[in-house]
Amino acid sequence: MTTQISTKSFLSLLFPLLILVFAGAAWGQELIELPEYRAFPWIGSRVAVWVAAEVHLMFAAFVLGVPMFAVIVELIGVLTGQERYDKMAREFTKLLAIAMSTTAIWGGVLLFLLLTLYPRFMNYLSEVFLPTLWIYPMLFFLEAFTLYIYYYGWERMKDGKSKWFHLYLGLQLNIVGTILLLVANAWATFMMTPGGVDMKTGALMNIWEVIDNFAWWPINIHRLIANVTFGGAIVGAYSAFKFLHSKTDEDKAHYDWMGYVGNMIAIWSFLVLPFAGYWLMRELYQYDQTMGITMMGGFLSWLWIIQAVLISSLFLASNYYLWLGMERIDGGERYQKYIKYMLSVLLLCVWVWATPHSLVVTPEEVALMGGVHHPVIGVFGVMSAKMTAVNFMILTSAIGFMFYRRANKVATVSYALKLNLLQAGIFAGVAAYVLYLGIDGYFVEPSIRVNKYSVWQVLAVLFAILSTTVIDLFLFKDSKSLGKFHWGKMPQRSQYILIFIAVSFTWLMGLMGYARSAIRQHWHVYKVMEDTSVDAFAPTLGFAANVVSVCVLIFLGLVMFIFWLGSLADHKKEDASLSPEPAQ
Amino acid sequence: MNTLKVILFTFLVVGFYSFYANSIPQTESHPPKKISLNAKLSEDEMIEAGERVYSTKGTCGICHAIGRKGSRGPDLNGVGLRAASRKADFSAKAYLLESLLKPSAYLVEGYAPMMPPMASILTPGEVMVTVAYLQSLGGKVDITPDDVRAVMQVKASQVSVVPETVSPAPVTEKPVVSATASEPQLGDPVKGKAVYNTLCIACHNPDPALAGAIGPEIKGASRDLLEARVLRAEYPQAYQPKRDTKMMPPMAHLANDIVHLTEFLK
Repeated sequence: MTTQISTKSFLSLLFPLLILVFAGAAWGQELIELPEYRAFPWIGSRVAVWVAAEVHLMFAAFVLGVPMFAVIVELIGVLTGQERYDKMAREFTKLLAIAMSTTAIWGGVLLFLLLTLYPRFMNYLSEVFLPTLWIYPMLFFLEAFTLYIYYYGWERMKDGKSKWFHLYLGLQLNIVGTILLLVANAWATFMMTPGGVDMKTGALMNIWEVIDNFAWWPINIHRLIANVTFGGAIVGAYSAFKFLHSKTDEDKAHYDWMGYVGNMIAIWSFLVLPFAGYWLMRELYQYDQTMGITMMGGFLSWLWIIQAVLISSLFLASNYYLWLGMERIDGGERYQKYIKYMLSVLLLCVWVWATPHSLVVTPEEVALMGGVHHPVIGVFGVMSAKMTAVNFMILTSAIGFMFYRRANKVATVSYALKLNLLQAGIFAGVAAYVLYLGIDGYFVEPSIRVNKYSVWQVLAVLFAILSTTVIDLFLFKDSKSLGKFHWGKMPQRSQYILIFIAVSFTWLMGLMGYARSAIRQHWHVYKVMEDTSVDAFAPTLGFAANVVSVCVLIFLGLVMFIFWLGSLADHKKEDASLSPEPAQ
Repeated sequence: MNTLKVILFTFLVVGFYSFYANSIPQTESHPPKKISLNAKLSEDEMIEAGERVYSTKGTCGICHAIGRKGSRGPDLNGVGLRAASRKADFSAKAYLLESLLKPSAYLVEGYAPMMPPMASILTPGEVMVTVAYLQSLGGKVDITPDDVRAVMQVKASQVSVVPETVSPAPVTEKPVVSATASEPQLGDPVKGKAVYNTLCIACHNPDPALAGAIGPEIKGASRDLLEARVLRAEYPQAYQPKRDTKMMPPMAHLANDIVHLTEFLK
């Protein structure tokens, strides 16, 4: 098994590299006149490249996100001395080894398709990005070999100083992976916000400005955080899958705990993502207002409503998972009575967030509504209301998590009542402040709303989360326990929630990938190289959603296959551990 | 059995998102058709092309509307008829051309001068068909390529519109006679403030000493800088921009206000 994976992985890495080497040489010599485009049968060139790129990116996010998760978990294991953390980190690194090959295969497919279907475009990109095309495969080799040493050396580097070297390898894995991400992001973002080239002729002027283009860092940060989220969500789904197939209480307890940790990492990193996305959008507006308008007020405006539905579903699902989780904690029933209030707030926020604002509407729709905005709820379709709704959702989730943390604890300190009141006061005060800014936001200049009020709302919510967490440390010092966490005592539907979260994250990633590409509209490289193919138009959101769904199903299907491969290795181990038993 | 359930559940979730995305308004976004002033277009073709420019590249519908008040601009229903009587000695097409190329020259009561001059966004051919479309809204279409050439001073050799990737839009707006030479050297800061608060704060901070949502702090900007940046969307030689943005359109119609802006920003 080990040899098979290594050989396959090596070949899958070598193949794209050879293509790059030979293709690069061929482009440079200009031996033949390249056609503009070639057609892919049946589904067309664009959809073929779209699917290959999206599935490749999903796997790339998997192989970059999961190592971040694995190393952090391994470090926790070393620091706490708890074996279960080490076991979990190793379990995921095993999946990585298989996923790395799949990522490389899809990368090869993508490259093949681009070279054959878009030769002129690839010729231009290779001219502009030539140095990075040499660096990238080398980094890929380094990444792959680091991963294999990291995984296969786990047992050998288990104890003492060698364990720290093993952790260093994990760190190196993440650093190289991040650099790979930065290089690939330079290609993608150059197509959106090109810099360092003559905008009239497209000629290369400065390679660093080509790489460090306007959207590069915003995308880098956004994708880095998103990869952590994605890694956590996939870990959650894997754990749920294993939980549902577990036959012993011990296995159920392990995978229940693993799913909880994965989900927590996914949700908490996810909370930061809207702010990174906000920064990215602001940068795009600064680069080219038309691009910003196209995205927020033009044909893509409905996309943000789909996004609101997705993210709202994620908030509801993650809160529901927490509420179900309290059922497995002795004493958790004390907080059940608050769930209906939290659910009401969340649903109200979902309603506000999903209210459309600037939309492409038909005259019939305008006539039905009596204007471009809905007569009653239209007032909620603006940024001030939506930012307030998002912050309330984050605040409500934080309160839910606070209840979860204290579910089996009773404070014994003499000043418990005061600290409880202080926490309640902080939450109430921050909620009132966020609401006040949300209302006042209707009456101030956009620049104040964008630059000040939004930031103040976020800072206030962060203050509430951090301060109440710190207060908890004092409040529950020497606390009395009402019982323990009964890991594994979770209803099956809780595991479907974890799967729902992973599927929704994956779908959201696909949708945002479409948004990033669609804002270029009929340009391969925005305002530098025009798309003159038959696909030089942005399809409907419905069509895009169908393609995204296909990509998600391909990705998840392959991930399930990888999980199954991983379980085959487990069966082998179980068989091996059973075989030495002497017959009685 | 559990595996099957997980697969079915996954299909259900993915199917729900697809279904939702397919149940909302569906719009395809096509690239604007290149329109040359030399192209021989029938009246219907011009109107059809103009409507496309209106709703796509021109992004007119974001502010204006037809048959109702727009979010920021006036209702354009019947503008083809009204245009002929808006300004004395201006025919409908002359008024509409001016409205597109120098939008602040005449303002409908109750609306701020916030529309950018369209010469920096549309090609001469696109300006022509847009005027034709606007004329068709209640009026008679009589715009000709020569009308556009006369106003936009398009050289004959530049008329055939080439892809924007190869050369910039072949537009040279009629040079604005700089009034600054005949203006007093010191402007009126009150007038400057009025201009600033009307136009600039859409992107710059209401307090020019602070950075705005989109534009940087501009307090102390010199007259040279303002003339270059505001009138021509350029920077003076050797000037290091605070932000590497390309979004501020040239606002040649503010030539008379530069001196006041300079004084206000001191």
